[in-house]
Amino acid sequence: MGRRALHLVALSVFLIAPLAVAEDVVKPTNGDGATQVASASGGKFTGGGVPACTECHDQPRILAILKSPHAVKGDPRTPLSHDAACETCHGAGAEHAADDENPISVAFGQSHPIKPQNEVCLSCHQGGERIHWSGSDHEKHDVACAACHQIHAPEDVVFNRDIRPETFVKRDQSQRCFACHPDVRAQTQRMSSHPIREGQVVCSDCHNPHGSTTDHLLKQETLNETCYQCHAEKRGPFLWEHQPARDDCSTCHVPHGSVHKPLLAARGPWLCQSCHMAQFHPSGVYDGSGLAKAAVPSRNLLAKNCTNCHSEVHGSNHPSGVRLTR
Amino acid sequence: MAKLRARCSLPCWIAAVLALGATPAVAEEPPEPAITGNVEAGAYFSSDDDYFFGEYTGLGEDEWNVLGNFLVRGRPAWDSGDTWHFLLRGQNLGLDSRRIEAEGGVQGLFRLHLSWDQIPHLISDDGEMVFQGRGGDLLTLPSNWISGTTTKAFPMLSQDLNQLRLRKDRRDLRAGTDVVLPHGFEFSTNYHYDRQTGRKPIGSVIGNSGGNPRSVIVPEDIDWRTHDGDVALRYASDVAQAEVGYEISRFNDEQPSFSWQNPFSAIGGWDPAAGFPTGFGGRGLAPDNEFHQVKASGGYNLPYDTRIMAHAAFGWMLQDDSFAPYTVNPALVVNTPVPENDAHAKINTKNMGVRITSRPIDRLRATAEWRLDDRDNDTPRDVFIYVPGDSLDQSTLSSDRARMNLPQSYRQNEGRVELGYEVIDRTELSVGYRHRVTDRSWTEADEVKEDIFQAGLRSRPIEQIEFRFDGTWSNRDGGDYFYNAPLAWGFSPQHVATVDLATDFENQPLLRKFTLADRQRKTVDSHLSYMPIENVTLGAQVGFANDDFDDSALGLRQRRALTWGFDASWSPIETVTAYAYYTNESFRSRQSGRSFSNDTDAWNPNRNWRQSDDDDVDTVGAGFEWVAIADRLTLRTDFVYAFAKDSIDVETAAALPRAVPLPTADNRLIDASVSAEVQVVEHVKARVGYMFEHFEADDWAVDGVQPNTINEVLTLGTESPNYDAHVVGFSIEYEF
Repeated sequence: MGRRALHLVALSVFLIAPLAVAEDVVKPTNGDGATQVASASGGKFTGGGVPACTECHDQPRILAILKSPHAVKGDPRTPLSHDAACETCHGAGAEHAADDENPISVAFGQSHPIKPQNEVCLSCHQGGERIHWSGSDHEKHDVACAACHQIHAPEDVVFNRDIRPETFVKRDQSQRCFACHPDVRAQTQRMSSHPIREGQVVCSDCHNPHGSTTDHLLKQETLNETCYQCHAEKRGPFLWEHQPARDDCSTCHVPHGSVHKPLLAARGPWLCQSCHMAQFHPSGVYDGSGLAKAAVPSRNLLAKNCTNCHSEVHGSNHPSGVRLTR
Repeated sequence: MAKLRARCSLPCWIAAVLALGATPAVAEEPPEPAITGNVEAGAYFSSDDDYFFGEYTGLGEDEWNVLGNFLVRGRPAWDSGDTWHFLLRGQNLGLDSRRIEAEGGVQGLFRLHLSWDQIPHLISDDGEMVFQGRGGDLLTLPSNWISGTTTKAFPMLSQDLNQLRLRKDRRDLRAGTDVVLPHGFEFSTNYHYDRQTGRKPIGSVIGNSGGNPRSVIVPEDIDWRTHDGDVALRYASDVAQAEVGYEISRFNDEQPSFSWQNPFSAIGGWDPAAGFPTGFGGRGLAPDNEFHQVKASGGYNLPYDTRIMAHAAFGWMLQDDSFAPYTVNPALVVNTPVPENDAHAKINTKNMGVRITSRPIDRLRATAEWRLDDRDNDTPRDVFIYVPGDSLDQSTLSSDRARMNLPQSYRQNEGRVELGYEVIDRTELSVGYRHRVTDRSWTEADEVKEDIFQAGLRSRPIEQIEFRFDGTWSNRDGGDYFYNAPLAWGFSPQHVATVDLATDFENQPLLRKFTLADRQRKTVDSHLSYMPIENVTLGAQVGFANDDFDDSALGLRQRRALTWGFDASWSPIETVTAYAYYTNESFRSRQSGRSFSNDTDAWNPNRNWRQSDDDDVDTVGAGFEWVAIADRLTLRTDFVYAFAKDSIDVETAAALPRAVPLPTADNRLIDASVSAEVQVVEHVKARVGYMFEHFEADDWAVDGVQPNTINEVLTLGTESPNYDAHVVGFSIEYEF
């Protein structure tokens, strides 16, 4: 009981104490940046605030932004808190308002020029998870922020987890990612996979799509550290390390999905034999002569194959565990 | 709290309390509140109780389940001047895969978030086991057990088998705060508690060589608890951004070990006490561990569209669980105790990097980057005279059972440069080069170098067409390969003195571990997107990756993956969206080996064998969403068909028996869902959903493998899942 109470106290202090130092934000941080960026394309502002635009753009899917975090007049960091309102992001719109044949300065979406629209977003959102956006895979491939994010919506669907079966037909974050990564979508349908299809795991649990310091946009400093976020029991360190596992979990595993349980790149014993070729059983031939109905069903081929005995494949801390059997 | 000055007065504090779960009607209503949401209640009926169907949802355990979801949002009118907000959501409340989340705060000041998530993992329910004491740390045999030297010699087996269900449950609690501070600073804290309980199958062996193992597949009881916490201070301005933080993670295994009674009689090569009824095996499970990391990262914008980013993270992985004894069998003689009480295991990690990106002129993009990934394994080395598989007395310091641990360190340095140039409008060519050097200790290859060349093309010649191509070619040089590393360094000096490293070895000297071996790699990734008319998008993609290990006489020789597919989406009118896709994936691996049991055979190429593994997967999907009657009726459907086939072929050289073919292993998934949403009256919707899932699998490794099929391994007898499942859900949703 004492331990639990200590945890509760620590948790409370950890979470609540920072509130003691929060102060009113008198001046916006970056709030004006968006206006500056959007107006860099030139032109004159309407000066009419939100109504200047909603006079024509009054569809529910446009007005939905007024229920979103980007439209909070009391928070000067938000675009719609400024007099320029919609033009804070979309650029000066007097010419467009006068004649809708004139296009708006900054339009959002993958089918529109990427650089000006992304600059608008980054003028406020360049810190935190986006520090390493520049030079990242998505930035190099000219992915628009608006390709994934829905700004004109009370909630951005990219933050959703549609957990089966609450939603029979999924419309969450993973569907957004699969639009450009259909190969990953196919992998998640395989027999052995993380519960991505079920909505329990989403792409951003492992990846930072805004850029990171690793290959494949992983959230942590290394691939293994990313895996340890949910599989801390594999972290060790162990007395007897299994070098390929310590190096890189993807030496043996395919995280998006595999036909070989559990998420293996290949099945044993051959996966193991690609690195182990000692005399007797590690180097032996395994074929159909060891199947279940054969005269001598093979312990290295059937059931859990090598891990029928060598089960501590991620490393062992047992003093008699050098062969990863303990 | 006394210093906190909210933008609004009392209503904001009420909202802040709401964010922590209080009801909205506690006190004075804020001006023009906008609290909306919905509550949904109903039921699911599930026709099939196949465990695998409900693998991560919990469906299938029972026929009927409660359907319960809710969503409550609070946000005042955007121009009211109030900035409080909250969101409460609950999903799958009637199932073991429930999730509840809450967040809220005062925008511009702070945000609190809290979530509770449960993820079941149903592993199997068709297993059978003879052991008693499940749920504890000692598994024993029934009092009527009669042993034998093989699984087929257990006369009481069928009588003593009992059904075994295996599942794990993960419960995940997360909480955190984000606080906006003056002058561009933000502070965040996060806490994460993860608990996993349940059982999973694990192989546990008694024996001391590949010639005399006797193993059982038993349930490993899991009670894992992980506490994670992190704090971070961030700064952001138009020009510079930075972040410093600290993270801690503590993992505890409430059951660090277990023992089991050996059902097999003593056999040749064992101490007699190792057999039934005195024989017991003991094993260690995941040790407690800790991880600490301090990290900092930052970015600075320079003129000419240039940005410099840097990061550094220093971490420590620690583990000091007390060692288990060499053996749990008191009848076995142990003269030399373990050299230390625990491993004092420690790995110091260091990750650093600098990246500079620039667009000095509009058409030119340049990137240069350096990264370091350093894992210094500081675990002390010692000699452990191990007891092999609880089956023999401890040996001596000069025997081949006097082993030394190998605390392998890893250090990777990588530099890369990349240039992209827009040769014509909206068409960019890019080239890049990476050089990577990986140093490892206590392994066969202490330095591995790799050169990677890349080229890319991205083009949008017209608005309707977008094309990208990325290709890489790389050459990895494994350097000198010290094949005898395991023998030279993994045994006591006293034992190494008794062998001849020039002629003795553990792995056949021609083997090259593929993670360390010379390798040529080619990859291609291309994607074409075409919009022939507005609201129709067609896509095609091809991905190819090939690894050749031509210099490896034995071991992995080739690994290839080819993926290609098409996809289409169509939205002819605003109320209809439809999509379809097809993907084919083909994986191939080739490896070589040599079967040997003595020095002569080890050098006989006529004892070679080759294995090829071909996996082919086809995936087809389609679906649509149709607002059939505006604000009244919405229909959605989704369909997936996936078929995977695994073919393994083995060939043997002249001195070996001709290889017997292996059957293919395949599995097929058909998943179809339909849902309809009807606006019955204002504020009330009715929802009906139907999901059908067909799954069939053939896997020769488990199908037909009964508990006593394998002479030396007492298995659980679980088989591949095969099922047809129908799930119907119906509910009423009230919106407010």
